[in-house]
Parts: sequence; C-alpha cells; structure tokens
Amino acid sequence: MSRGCFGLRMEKNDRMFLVMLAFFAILCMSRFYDHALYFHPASFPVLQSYSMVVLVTTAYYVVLFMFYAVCVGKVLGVNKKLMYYLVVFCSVFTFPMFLQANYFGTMDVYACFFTLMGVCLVILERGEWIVSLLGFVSACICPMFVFSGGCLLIVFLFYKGCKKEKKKYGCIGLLLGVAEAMGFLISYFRGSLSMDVQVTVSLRNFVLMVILMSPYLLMAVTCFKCFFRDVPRKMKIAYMMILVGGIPSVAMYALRGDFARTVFYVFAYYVVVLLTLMAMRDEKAEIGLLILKGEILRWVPIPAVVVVYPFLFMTLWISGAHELIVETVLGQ
Amino acid sequence: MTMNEKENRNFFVLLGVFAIVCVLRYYDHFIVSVNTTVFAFSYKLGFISRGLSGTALRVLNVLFPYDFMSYDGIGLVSKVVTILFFVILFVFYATCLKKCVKEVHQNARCLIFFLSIFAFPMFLSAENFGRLDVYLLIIVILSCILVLYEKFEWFIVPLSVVAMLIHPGYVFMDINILLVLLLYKILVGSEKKRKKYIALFAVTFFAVSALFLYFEFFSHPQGLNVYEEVVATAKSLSDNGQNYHDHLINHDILGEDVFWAEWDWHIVNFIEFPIFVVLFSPYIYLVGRFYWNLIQKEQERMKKGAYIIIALGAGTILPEMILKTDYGRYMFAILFYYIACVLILLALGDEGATMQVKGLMRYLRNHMTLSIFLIMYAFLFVPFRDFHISDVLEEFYDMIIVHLPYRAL
Repeated sequence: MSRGCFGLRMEKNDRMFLVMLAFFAILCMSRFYDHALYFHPASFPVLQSYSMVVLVTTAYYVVLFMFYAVCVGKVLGVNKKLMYYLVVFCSVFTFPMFLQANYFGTMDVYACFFTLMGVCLVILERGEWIVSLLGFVSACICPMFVFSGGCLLIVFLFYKGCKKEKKKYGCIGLLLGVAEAMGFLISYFRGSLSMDVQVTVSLRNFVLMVILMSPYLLMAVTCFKCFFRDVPRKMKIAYMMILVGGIPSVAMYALRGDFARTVFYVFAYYVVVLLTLMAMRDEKAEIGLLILKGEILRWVPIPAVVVVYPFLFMTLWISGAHELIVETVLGQ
Repeated sequence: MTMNEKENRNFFVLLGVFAIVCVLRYYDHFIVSVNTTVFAFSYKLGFISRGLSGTALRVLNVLFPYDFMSYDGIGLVSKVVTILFFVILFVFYATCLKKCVKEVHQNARCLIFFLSIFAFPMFLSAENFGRLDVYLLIIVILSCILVLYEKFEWFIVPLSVVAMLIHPGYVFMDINILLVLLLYKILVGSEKKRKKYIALFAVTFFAVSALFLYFEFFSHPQGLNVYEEVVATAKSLSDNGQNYHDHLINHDILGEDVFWAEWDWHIVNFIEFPIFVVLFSPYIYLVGRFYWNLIQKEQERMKKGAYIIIALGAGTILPEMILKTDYGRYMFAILFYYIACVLILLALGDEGATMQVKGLMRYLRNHMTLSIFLIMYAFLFVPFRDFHISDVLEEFYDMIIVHLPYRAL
C-alpha cells in the first residue's frame, strides 16, 4: 500500500483497477465516438470549435479519473470492493455520454468537468474556496449548470457544514450560490442563455425506458431509506437536501423533452452522490450500500448484471434514432 | 423446491428478461440482401447448394394463404426461426444445468450468462437477422441435446443432412461441436455404447462430407441457364425490389471463385482480426488457460486425447477464415464452440472440466478487479456483425483506413 498525496491510500488492486478502467475508457471512446460535432448553443464561439471540444472532452475524462482515484483512494479496505462496483456503474453513464454525436461538444461537458473538480476539492478538503470560482466559470459557460452540478456542489457544502459544524462551509456555499447567480445573470445579459435541448428520445420511449430501469428505483429506495434512521435532525436535513438536489436538473430536462439527458442526470447525480459520500466515509452511505448489496446477492443470480445492465442502453439506444425501442414494439 | 432449484428458476427469469431487452435493443427490423437472395435458390433449379430454405419457402407459399415469397414473408419466417433459436438455446441451458453437478451450478450459470451476452444479440442485427447460420445453430444445439439425453440419437444424421442442405458452411462452423461430443463419447464413454457412437460419428461425418463435396464441385452444371431467373427472384424478395447479392449467386449458381471479388473485405479482415485478438486477449487467455490446465492435469490417455480434440475442434473454421470474409460470424462460431463445449462437458459430469471450471471461477474471484470488467467489456463487442467483426473493430478500421490519412493530409 502507498500513501500518496492528499492522504489517498492506493493499494496495488486500486492501481490495477484504475488501469483496467482506463483501458475500458479507451475502448468506450472507440465504440461510442461518432466523429461528428453538431451545433450546440455556446457562450463563446471558441468553445464550439472541434479542437476545443476534443481537448475539453479529454480533460473531462482526466478529471473523471481523478475523481475516481480520489474516491477509491479515500475509502478503507473493507469498502474497496463496493467502491469498485460503484465506480464501474458510474462509468456506464459517464464514459459514453459525451462521445455520442448529439452530446459531443455540449456545454454540459464543461459543467461536468468543473463540477467533478469541485467535488474532488470538497472530498480532499483542500482549496474549497476555489469551488465558488469554478461555479462562476461553469455558470458563465453553461448556465444550466446552476441546476445540475451547481446544486450538487451546494448540497455537499451544506452536508459538510452540518457534519463538521464549521461555518466555513456555510460561507463557501453562500459564495458559490452568489457566484452561480452572477454567472447565470452574465449569461442572461450576454444573450447566451439558450438551453441546449436534444430531442432524441420520444416520451413513449422514455416511459418504456423508465419501466425497464424501474428496478433501480427500488434499489435506490433500499439504499437511501436507512439514511434517515437514527440521525440527528440537522443531518436528516442534510441528507434530504442531497436527495432533492438531483430534482432540478432532472425536472428541467424532462419538462423540455430531453429525455436522454434526464436519464443521464438521474443516474449520474445519485451515483456521484453515493461515490462522494463513500469517499467522505459517511457511515449511513456505507450501511445503505451494504444493505443493498445483501438484497442484490439475495435476489439477483448474477450480481454483476446490476452494474452492466444500463450499458445496454447507453448511449446508442437512448440517442440513436434508428434503434429506438418504440420501433421494436410498435414497428417503424 | 430446493434452494438450488429456486436459484435456477430466478436465473432463468433473469435470462428471459435479458433476452427480451436484447431483442428490444438490438433488433434492427431489416434483412440485408445476402439473407433474402438465398431464398431465391430452390431445387427447381436442380440439386443445388443452399436450396432447401428457398424450397421450403415455396412449399409454405403453396400451403398457406400468405405471400411467403416476398420480403415480408422472409421476415416472418426469420422471426419465427429466431424465436425458435432462443427457445432451443434456453432448452440447451436448462439441460446443461440439469445434468451438471450441483456444486458447479453457480459457475455454470455465470458461463451461460456470458455466452448469452454474445448469443442473444447475434441474430438480431440487420447483418445477421434471418441468416442461415441461425438454422444451423438450432440444428446443432438440438443434436447436442439429443446426445446429452441419449435419446433419439440417430436423429442427428438426418438433422445434419438437413443442415447441409440449408448451408454447406455447417461443415466448418457448427458441426464441430457435435463431432467433438461424439468423439468424446467414443473415447471416454462406456465400452457398451462405443460402437453406437462410432457408427453415429462415421455416418454423420460421411453424409456431411459427401454433401459438401457434391455442392462444392458438382452442383452448378446449369448455372448460366438459370442465372437470370435467380437474379429476378432475388430482386423480388429484397426490401426495395432491386437489391440482390451477386457474390452469393456467382458462387452458388455459377460456381465461380469469389475470393478476388471479395478482396476489399479480406483487407478489412486483415486489419480487424489482429486488433480483435489483442482486444479479446483477456478471454483468449482465460479459455486457453482452461483448456491447457484441462489437458495438462489429465492422466488418462484416452481422456487427454478427447480434451486435445475438443481444444483443437474450433480449427474447422480455419478454411472459412482463409477463403471467406465474414469474420464476425466466424468469431462468434469460435466463441460459441468453446463455451458450449465447456457447458457440455459439465453436463456430461466430466470431473476434469468440473475441477477446471471451479479453479477458473476461483481465479476470477481472487482477481476481482479483472472479473468486474470481463462481463462489462463483452458488451462493447456485441453484436458481432458479418465482415466487420463488431462495431468497435469497425471503428479501429475506420481510424486506420479513413481518419488517419485524412488527418495527415
């Protein structure tokens, strides 16, 4: 075992895991990358150039790996295995999403990049003040970040504040809120507040997809319900904030009809929440996941299926117009 | 109901759901011209290669008040056959689980699921939906089930003949599973039944070899006379009334060698195959490790011989790989062969295979980081296509052939 920088404990298995994950990511790129850049509303034209998009997508992958390394390095031995599965599950959504033609080069990739950086800083408890700056830049580039990554960062700062009982986190949270609002307003006055909506999945497809994904709702309930047992009121509020933090982005994209993004944000938000809580060694998250693991082992004959099942749909199915479920069920 | 039976039941429910999701996800609603053109061949043109399916379609057309001699008719038949394939595959899985010892049930279930990742989507994509391979696979699986149950085993001879009449590629791609099973029974089975299996093996082998030689060298005497008729029928069966597969007609009706005509596709194979071997190396390593240990640790001479034959049995696909171009189909055939053979050995209660499967699963459990990816990784490759092995390989091909020169310029 080696104790690397920022107090991360990287074991031999962790390094091997990350190497395999990197190999898998490269293959995902070759499988899902469409070599096509469509038009997406951007605050600055340079953000839409092909080279810039390739660069920032690469940077997104790098930061994603940094986030995974932080999560894996922060958990203790007994929870490593759980963390591996969570990381792989998160990758099912995060690896292919921004490679598919409809979402390659969207401003979301910038927002995700900054959000993951912010989450890493919050977990490592280093330079947390920078989070507000990241929030400001994100909101300027992708105003809708305020409803997705912005919420995630704010709820985690709130959670930290409740857990550590330090005013510092309250101040950073407040500053982040102000920074996001400023970024949002700047975008508004610059006239770049148009929402990027990709209607690739119809409502009928979405309903069928929700049905097919419904077992995960059951799993989420199994995992999250123990968060509210035997905890002080303050922490109950913190957990409640974390749970409702995913609603704005999901509701926003669902109402505008971008159901592919809706599915992505539902899963990405709550899986990142679990990863972050595990990395912060939150007892309730550990217990919740252990209970969930027990239930999965009890009911699912091949437990790995739970992790790989959504991979069937990402992203070709949720985005590929010619392979939609409705064509199968109702004909073309 | 015992715990084990309950687990098996849950497993089949899960597998059923997985099969349905695969159909929803991978079914393309399209039949490519190679799979419609083949139905233009019939015994009306003489005793020709791949004539049975077209003849059967004409018979159906006469018997039922539905236009089977059309694109939609072929679609309907293909749907029924694909459903039959799923059913037979499930029966095969159930047979293997029923016959193998209880202590390896969990391991067998893992193997079955892994095989299903590749097998379920295989015949749903546009390239392979309705392809004659699905008929051959149904026949070979059915034959294996009969041998495993040791009931109506003589049926495998007519079944093999039917398979040859459907597609002579049966000799290379599918019959190997059945032949190695019969050879295993001859070498390892009881003295009493040995003669029966020798006779079965000899008759099956002779029948398919004779048919293959006939179709390859003597079945095209009036090719030129019927060429126009075949092309016209093939066009009428296609999706737009215009498409037909000229290579298929040139090969099977005119008896032409299409090797050079397919040279561009050979290039695709030359580029994709080495990359596939590298990308697939974790699975190749595991399968190689399994069979190597199986052979090495066996003391009994006859059994060792049987294992060596099983390990080399996929070699029958080599001639196809040299002469033809559909590497996606061949890679699937190889993969199916090796995993199906392990399942069959488990179903036969083979001690060596049982030990090795346990050892392999122990190895995977000890290398947990590897095992997480082994299932996940497989999803990147499916579905296997035809001359492009899979989409991920096609992307590498494009990178090498299309994008790199473009970027350099």
